[in-house]
Amino acid sequence: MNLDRSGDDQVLACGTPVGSLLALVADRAARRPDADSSTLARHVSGCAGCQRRLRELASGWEPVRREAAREVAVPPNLVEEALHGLATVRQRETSVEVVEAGGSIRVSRGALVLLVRQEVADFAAGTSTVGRPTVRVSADGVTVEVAARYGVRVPLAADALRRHLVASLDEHFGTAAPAVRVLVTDVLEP
Amino acid sequence: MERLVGHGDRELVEAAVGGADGAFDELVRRHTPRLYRVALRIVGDRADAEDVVQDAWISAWRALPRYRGDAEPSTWLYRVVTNAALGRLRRRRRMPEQPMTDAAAAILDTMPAPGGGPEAGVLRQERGDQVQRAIATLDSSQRVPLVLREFEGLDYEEIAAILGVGVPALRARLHRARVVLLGRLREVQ
Repeated sequence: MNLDRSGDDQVLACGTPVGSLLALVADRAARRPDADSSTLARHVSGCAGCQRRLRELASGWEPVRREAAREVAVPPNLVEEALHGLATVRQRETSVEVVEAGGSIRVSRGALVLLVRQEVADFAAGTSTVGRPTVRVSADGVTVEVAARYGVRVPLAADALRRHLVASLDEHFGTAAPAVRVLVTDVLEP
Repeated sequence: MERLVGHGDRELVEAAVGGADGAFDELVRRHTPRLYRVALRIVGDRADAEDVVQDAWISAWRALPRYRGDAEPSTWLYRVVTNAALGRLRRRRRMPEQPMTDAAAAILDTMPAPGGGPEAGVLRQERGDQVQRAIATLDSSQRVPLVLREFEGLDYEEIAAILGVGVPALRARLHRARVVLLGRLREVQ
């Protein structure tokens, strides 16, 4: 094969860069041929010099093509291990740990969701501004989606709810309290 | 869980963003083999590839609240695993170099035995070994697009989106990667 380290800079007598021919070879070998190579492919079909060089390049590229076609066996327990690792991280990062003298208390995500739902319900009963809460807990904190009652000033209602939740969670968890985001996603009919 | 199997990736991601752990777990079941394949081709070591997959899923889960749906879930996952693999390569660079033969052998160990008789199998294994060694010598900026294009068969636009580069820049990287790879293969043949 006549391709050396500077072979990509070579240009054939017909004006075709060798590098373009290599791209054509590789793109043909790939499972999704590149549409941009069709013009070059048309030229090559009528150019003996390009065809000769293309055959050389294809021969050199063949080991790559064969290697790409080989199956890679996945370790049998990898999915289970990934799920287990994920469950551990979820548990750790979506629960709240309150450290006190002599020990610590961990509050699970489920308990945190119930607590926040109750706080939203208490707020809604007292203000009649929001309803239908959806509570999510992620590594980023607590996200509460609510519907605002028609006619209320949405930014004010959302901010009031957020401050209510922050105060409540601070009271329960102190410095371990998760961040709170409130999103108003709907409007309740009057 | 059965109910989730027929759902598309986008639906699963949206459900996972909404807090459905089962939906994210289904994505893990569905895409782990692909993520492992990419990780192994990039890092060239089985144990490292397994760690990369684990790191990738945790990163993806942590990033869920920020998922905006502007990329296909598969593109997003390729991006996550690619970043995890590059992170692993960076950490490895600070550690003593692993012999290239071990890396290539680790990949070949995971592959089914070739057909066509023992001699053909050995020859094929040698050639595969050469290809993996040659790929392992590429700079990561060339290796990653090469793996995504030649081994995963992704199109240029998708790879550009995964790597966060323009298509012309990607073409230039792939061009260099192919030329260098072909040159290295020629040296050993």
